[in-house]
Amino acid sequence: MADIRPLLALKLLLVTGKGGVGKTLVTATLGQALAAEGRGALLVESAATDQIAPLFGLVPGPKHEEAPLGERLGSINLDPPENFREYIVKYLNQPFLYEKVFNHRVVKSFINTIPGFSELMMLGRLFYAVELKPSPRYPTLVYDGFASGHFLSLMTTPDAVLQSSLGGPVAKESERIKAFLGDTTKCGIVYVATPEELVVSEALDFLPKLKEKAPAKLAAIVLNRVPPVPAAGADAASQFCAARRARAEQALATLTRGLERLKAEHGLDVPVYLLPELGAVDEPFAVDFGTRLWADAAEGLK
Amino acid sequence: MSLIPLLEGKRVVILLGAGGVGKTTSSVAVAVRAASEGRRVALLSIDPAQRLAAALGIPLGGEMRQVVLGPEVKGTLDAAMLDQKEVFDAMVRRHAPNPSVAFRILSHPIYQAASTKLIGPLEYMALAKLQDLADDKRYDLVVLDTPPDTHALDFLARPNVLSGFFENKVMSWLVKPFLVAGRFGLGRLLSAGEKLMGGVAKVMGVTALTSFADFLVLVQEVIEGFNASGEKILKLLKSPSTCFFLVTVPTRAAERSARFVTRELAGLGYQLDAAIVNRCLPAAVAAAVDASQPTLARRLASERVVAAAIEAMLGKSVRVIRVEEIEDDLAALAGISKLAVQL
Repeated sequence: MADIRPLLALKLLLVTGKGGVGKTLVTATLGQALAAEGRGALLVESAATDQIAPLFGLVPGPKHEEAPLGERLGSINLDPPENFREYIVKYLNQPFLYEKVFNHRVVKSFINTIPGFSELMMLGRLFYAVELKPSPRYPTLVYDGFASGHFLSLMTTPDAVLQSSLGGPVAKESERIKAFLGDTTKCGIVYVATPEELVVSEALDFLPKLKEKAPAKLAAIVLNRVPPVPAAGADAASQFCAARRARAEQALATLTRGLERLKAEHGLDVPVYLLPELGAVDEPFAVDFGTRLWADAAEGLK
Repeated sequence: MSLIPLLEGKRVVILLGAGGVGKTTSSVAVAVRAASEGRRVALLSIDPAQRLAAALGIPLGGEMRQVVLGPEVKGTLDAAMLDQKEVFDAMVRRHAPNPSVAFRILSHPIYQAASTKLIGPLEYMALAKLQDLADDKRYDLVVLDTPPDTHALDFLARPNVLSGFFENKVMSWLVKPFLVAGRFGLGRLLSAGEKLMGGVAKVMGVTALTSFADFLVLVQEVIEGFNASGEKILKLLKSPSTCFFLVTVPTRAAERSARFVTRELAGLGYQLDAAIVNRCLPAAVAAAVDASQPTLARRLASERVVAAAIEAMLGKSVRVIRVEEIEDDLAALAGISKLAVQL
C-alpha cells in the first residue's frame, strides 16, 4: 500500500503527463482522497469542455464557476479572459478601470496578442486561490494541467516574462508567482504516465527538462493502468492479458533504469505510485472511489 | 470497410482528435496505407515525437524527408515533423519586408521568449506549410496531423488570422502612442485610444507596453503577410478535395472529446468523412473473454457501449473504422504498417 500523505499535505498539486494517460482520473481521485481526509479540495481545469463534471455524473455548468461535486469537493473550469478580469477587479481592486479600459473590444484583442499572457494569468489565478485568498471551503487545489509540452510552457512563463525585458508590475507578479511555485512545502507536480514503452521513454526525456525549467518541483510520478498479473490460460483472452502484462513489465524495467540514471545525472529522486488498470471506470464515481483506488496503489518500482 | 475509397480524388486529409488517442500514429498509418496504394504522399506532423521520427528514419524539422518503405510499395512517402521554432523563424524571414527587419525581429527578446518558451500558434504555421505542400506537384496527397489540444479547432475557424493578432490595424492605432510615449514620456497620451492605453499602462507598466509596442510594430508586416496567405488556406480547407478524419479510442472520456470535436467541426461548416477508433479489443480476444479476466471483461463491456454511442453520434454518413490494438511496437514502422493494413 502506498503512503500518499506527503502528496496530500501540499496545497497545490499540478497534474500533468502525456495526453490520454489519465491525468483527469488522477486529479479527481486525489481530490476525493483529500476530501476523505477532511480537507476540502477544488479540482481546477482549463479546458474547452469540462472533463471533470461528467465523471461525477454532472452536466457541465457555466465556465469559471465553482460547482460542488460532493462533500468538501468542488470543481471549476477556468476561463482565461475571466482570470484576467478577476485580476484587475478583485486583486487590483480596479473595477472601474476594467469596465472602461480592459473590457474594450480593441484592448481585449491587444491583450490577447501578448505572448504568454493568459498563461501568466492562469498561474496568477492559482497563486491567488492558494496563497493570497484561500477559500475556507477549499484550502487545497488540484490542477488538472495541460499535457506535458504545453504544461512546460506554462511553467516557464514567469521566466519568459522576466527575461523578455518587460519590467513593471507584470515582472513583479511573475517574480512572486515563481517564488510561490518553487515552495516545495506548498506546491508539487504530479507526473502521470502509463506502463508503455513509448510513454515511458517520453517521460524520461521530459522529466529532466521539467526539473531544469519549471520553478515547481516534481512531487510524484504516477504510473496509471498497470495491468494485473494474468491468470494462466491458452485462450486468446489469456494470451492477450499475458502479453499486455509482459509489455508493461518491460516498460517498468525501462522506467526503473531511466529513473536511476536521472537520479545519478540530474539528482531527480521522487516516489513512484502504481495505480492498477481497471478495464473501465464506473461513472459517476462512487464517493469512496478515490480512496479505494489509492489504497490499492503500490509504491516504488521494485 | 476501408478508408481508401474515401481518399480517391482527395488532396488533403486532416486528422483531428483529443490528446493520447493515437492521432500521430494514425496519421502515419493513413500515409503509409495511401502510399501502398500508389499515392505520392506528404505527411506533416506537428507532434515532434523523437521516437516516431526515428521510426520513420527522418530528423525532426521542417524539411520534407523521404521515408524508405518496402520495395512492394508503389507510391512514395515524404514526411516532416515540424519544429516550432524553426517554422516560426522561417515565417518571419519570408514575410519580413527586408533582412534587416527580420534580423531585428529574430533577435527581439519578446520574439525569443514567444518562439521558444511560450505557446506559439503552431497550428497556423502547419497550415502555411500545408498550403505549400498542397501546391507542390511532387505530391498528390497531403496528410496533416493536428496538435493534441482542446483549442485545436481554432485554426479551422479562422485560418486567415494569426491567433489573437487580428485587428492589427486598430492595434497599431493603440500601440503607436507608446512609441511616442517612449520618446516623450506618458504626458503625450492624449487621444481616446491613448487614454485607453493609459489605463492598460497603469496595470502593466509603461516600460512593458513600450517594449511590446515596439515589437508589434516590427512584426506588423510579417503578420499582414501571413494573414494574406490565410485567405488561400481557407479556400483549401473548404475545398471538396480536403477531408477530415476523427481519431478516437473506445473510452467514455474519449467519446466525450470526440463528441465535442464533431460538434465544433460541424459548427464551423466542415464535414467529417471518417472516424478511426483505435485500440479496440481484437475480435478473437473479445470472443474468448470470460470471468477469469475481470479487468478485460469490464473493458469489453464498456467498449461495446462506447462504440455504439460513437456510431450513433456520427450517423450513417461517417465511415467508422475499428482498429484493433496490436502487440507490436508502435514507434516502429513495422508496427504502424500493421495498423495501416486495418485501414
